[in-house]
Amino acid sequence: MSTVEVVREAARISLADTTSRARRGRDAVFLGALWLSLLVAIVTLATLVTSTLVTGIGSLDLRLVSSFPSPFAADAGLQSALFGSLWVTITSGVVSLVVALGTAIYLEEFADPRSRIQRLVTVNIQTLAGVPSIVYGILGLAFFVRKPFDWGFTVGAAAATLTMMVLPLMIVASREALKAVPPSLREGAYALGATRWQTVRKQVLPAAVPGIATGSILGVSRALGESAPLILLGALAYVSYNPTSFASDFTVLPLLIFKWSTEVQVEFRALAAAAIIVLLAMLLALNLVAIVIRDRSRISW
Amino acid sequence: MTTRPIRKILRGAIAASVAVGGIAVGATPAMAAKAGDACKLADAYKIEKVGTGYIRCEIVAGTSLHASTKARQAKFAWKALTGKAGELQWQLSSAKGANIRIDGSSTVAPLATVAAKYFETASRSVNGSKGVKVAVGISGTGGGFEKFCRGETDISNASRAIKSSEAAICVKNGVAFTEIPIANDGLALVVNKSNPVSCMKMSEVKKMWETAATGKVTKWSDVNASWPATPLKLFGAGTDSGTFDAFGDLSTVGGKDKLRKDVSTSEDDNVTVRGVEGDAGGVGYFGLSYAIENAAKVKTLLLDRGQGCVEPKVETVQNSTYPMSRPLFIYPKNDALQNNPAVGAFVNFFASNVKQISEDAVFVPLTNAQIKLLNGALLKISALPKKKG
Amino acid sequence: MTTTATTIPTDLLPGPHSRRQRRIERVVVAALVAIASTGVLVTTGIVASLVGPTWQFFTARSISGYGQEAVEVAGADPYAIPADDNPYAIPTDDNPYAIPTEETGEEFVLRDSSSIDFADESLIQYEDPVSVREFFTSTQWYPQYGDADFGVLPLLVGTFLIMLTASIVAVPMGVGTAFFLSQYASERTRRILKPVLELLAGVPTVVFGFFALLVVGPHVAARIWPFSDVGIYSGLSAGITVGLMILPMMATLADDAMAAVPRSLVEGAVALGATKREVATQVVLPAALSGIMAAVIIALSRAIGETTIVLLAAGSQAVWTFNLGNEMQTMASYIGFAGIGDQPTDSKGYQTIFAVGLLLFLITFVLNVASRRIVARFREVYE
Repeated sequence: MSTVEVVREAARISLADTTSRARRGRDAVFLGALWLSLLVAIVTLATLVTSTLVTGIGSLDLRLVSSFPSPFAADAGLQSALFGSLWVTITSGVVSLVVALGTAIYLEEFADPRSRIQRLVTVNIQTLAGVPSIVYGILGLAFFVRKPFDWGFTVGAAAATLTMMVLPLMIVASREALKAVPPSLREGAYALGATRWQTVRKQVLPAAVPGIATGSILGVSRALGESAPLILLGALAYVSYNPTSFASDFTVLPLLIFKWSTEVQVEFRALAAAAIIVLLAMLLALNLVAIVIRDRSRISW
Repeated sequence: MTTRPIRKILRGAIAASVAVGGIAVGATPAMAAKAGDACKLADAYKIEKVGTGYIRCEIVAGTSLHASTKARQAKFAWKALTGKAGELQWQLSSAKGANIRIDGSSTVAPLATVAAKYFETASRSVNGSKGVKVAVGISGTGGGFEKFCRGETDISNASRAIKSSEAAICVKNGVAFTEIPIANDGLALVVNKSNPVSCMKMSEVKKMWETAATGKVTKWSDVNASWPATPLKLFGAGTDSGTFDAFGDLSTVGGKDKLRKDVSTSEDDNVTVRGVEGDAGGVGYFGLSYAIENAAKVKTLLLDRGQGCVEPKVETVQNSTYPMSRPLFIYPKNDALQNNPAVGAFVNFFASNVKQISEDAVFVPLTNAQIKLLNGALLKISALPKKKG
Repeated sequence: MTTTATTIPTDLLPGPHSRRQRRIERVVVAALVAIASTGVLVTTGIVASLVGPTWQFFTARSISGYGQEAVEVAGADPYAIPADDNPYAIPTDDNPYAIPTEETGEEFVLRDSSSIDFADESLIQYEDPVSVREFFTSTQWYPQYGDADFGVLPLLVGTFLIMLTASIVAVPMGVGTAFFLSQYASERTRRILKPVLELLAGVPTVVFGFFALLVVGPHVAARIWPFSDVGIYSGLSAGITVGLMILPMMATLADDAMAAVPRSLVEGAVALGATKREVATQVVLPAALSGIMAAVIIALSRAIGETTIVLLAAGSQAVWTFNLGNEMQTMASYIGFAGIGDQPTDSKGYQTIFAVGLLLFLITFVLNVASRRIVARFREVYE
């Protein structure tokens, strides 16, 4: 529908409709429906949060963080899962940031937008962004856990798998951030005799940092909350010690929650809810950082 | 010029405080425990040297982690280990700084997890930060063997014996193993207290629970004409529980997918208890220990597979005369036993404390005959030639 | 906005730089090309890791047993009571797994690997590859049994039904919320609600799974389904919860699409006397329709690929049924389930993970291509 058609259509409606009472009635019904959908959405999602809070708040104490998983609810904690999550998330966050930045800089600053490699990579990333996370689990199992990498069911294999998973997100975010840097900045640098790499390093990257940071934080929170691919990577496990290297056995917070919520005893359900609160608090903190960065860096070019 | 000595002093102070901190954490507390003193669940199986003897934190006899009454609730106390037992346990826990990777059945996982927790505590009490670390994965029996036969795990948990196809793949990949029975699993069939039925034939169990019964067998009299025409109300275990799997096999319907589907399923055994208690025609199943704990609320049926009615008890499960029972296994990898002293120590620890571990994880302990078998397996293991690491 | 490469003639770029700088430039470009090709490597990896075992699944036989036992019980649990004339007989000598009583003190042989010798290859039994025809036409999905069925249809139906339920929950509410945000809400409300939605879109799926177990399964799905009894696990519970999970994302994306409609269009309609509703439904909706469609497709492809919620909420049986009150499995939840399941090593049952994974990959791939096409068309409107 072209712009002209849309406007003509709107004109037709408003001119044809002379019974303004019926119109107002329909307006009210429509607004009511919108309110209802908003209300239902908010109420259910609020129920989700509050029911979890109510179930878990009683088990939320320092002991939960200071002790390790246990077969007995009485002395079970989540420390090893917390550290497992930190290891896996931070590693995959850092590695994917480096790779994503490199890819984005190449695509935005160096590659000819009409070149074949540029198109190939772009289409690839779009495809990867839509692949279900469980499929990344199969990839991790087939490539990192087993040959050719043969790392076993370790922190390293999980971090590599999650890196692959968040990579497309991070690339897209970094590209958007680079695109938002105005060309005048680059042109100025070139005019002063800078090479492309100097321009990127000294001018474009600093200007794009806030956007890149926001995008990476969102990617990291995705990795922190992810559970499905790690099921295939052997992380659904009782591990009562913190990882000490990339070759360590590990479990992560989302899978500890998964395990606890399927336990028969009611006490474990409360523990699962408490662990959810810890996980949500971490995610909330990450997102707040992202929002603050975004708000602080509202530079209008 | 003055900065250097200051730095030196600083470094010294840091080193000293680290050392002091290390001692404070690593050493036994000043008020050394003695036999009879109370200890905590978190310290269960901690072992300490007192003079020339050894004491260990154990559950007090007569109390249980799964007690229904307050009086029988678990208590822990230090107990003196007599004779060679102390020395033996001390040595078992002394394998240092190693990791053990266990994986496999979700049914056996709780048992292995309890064993792992106790073993880790014991090992830490001897080796401090160099204590052995045990990871217990839950990949299912088949998934566990899959990893095991690739050499990725040290021990595989199994709620059934290894299949010949799996054993074949293990051997093909050069993974030699030893089978060790570790506990028994029994399922109880429970009905409402007012129900006149007290014993069921296995053929009747099948008739009641198989897929073909869906919509057809709706009253007790549909199963056996001499029973009352009370409407049948079935309660089952959650479909992803090991109990559900086990019932599919042991009820002789031919596996969990052949069980009828018009059953109220719940992960929470309490739901089954409440349902059966509140419904005259109610019938459900769960682990035997749970049935014993709830004997006041529901009636446990005897079962008959042609040799007369058998009451589910620890003894009848153990000697396999009760129809709905099965042994559970662990499969250590011989290579790991030979190369990693921690794996041998863990298997020995598990074996020597197997009764209490089974009880704490709510399983039926091994029989004496099974323990003989287990010891046979241990002998076989100890006869494996030691490789030099 | 275009890249610098097009705004500055390329031949001017290197400039009068030192040799060292030019070398740095070359190294940097080479490194960046290497990094940028990681994405292509990952895609290749995914396809390779799926296609190989899937090819095996459809063309090669796999080991199903060795020696006598395999002949007798063919993949069944050797602990099962032997199904001969008297199915309930107490295990005897014939059954090597019988546990001897203390009185008899019979010798019992535990299995160990030394009892297997691969010298005699004739003792190895194989199971045949699964035909593509069976995979796509059979309505039975019982890959975990000796007498196995490999019809993927129940998984496809489960996936479709759960996706449908999720879209019934998420699409109207998501679009409604987006309308509210983009057309009715004040700038202040919008500035609060939009980040809240984005936060909710980031809630981990395991949290929704827990919510399904705690609330949706027992208290919602069990009460609202008029056609049959609904247990704690059902396709309905999973569908509703997946719908709630994709709702915030759906609303955000739809809002983005609506916000992208040029103001001049809206202002023109208002100037002609249209009410807010008329602007929303007859100007903004048609103009943003392709963007909304793309949002729907992206949300649905998330729903199709969702594993954890379905694994926790829909139970563990792939039943050939169209009744949402039943337990169900989707393709994704089956992969997760099989990952913690009981299939024997390298069996056909195990290879299903890859065959189903490939199918799932292809379906989401097609959906994503479709959504990209729609977005591309959407962009053309304003050029």
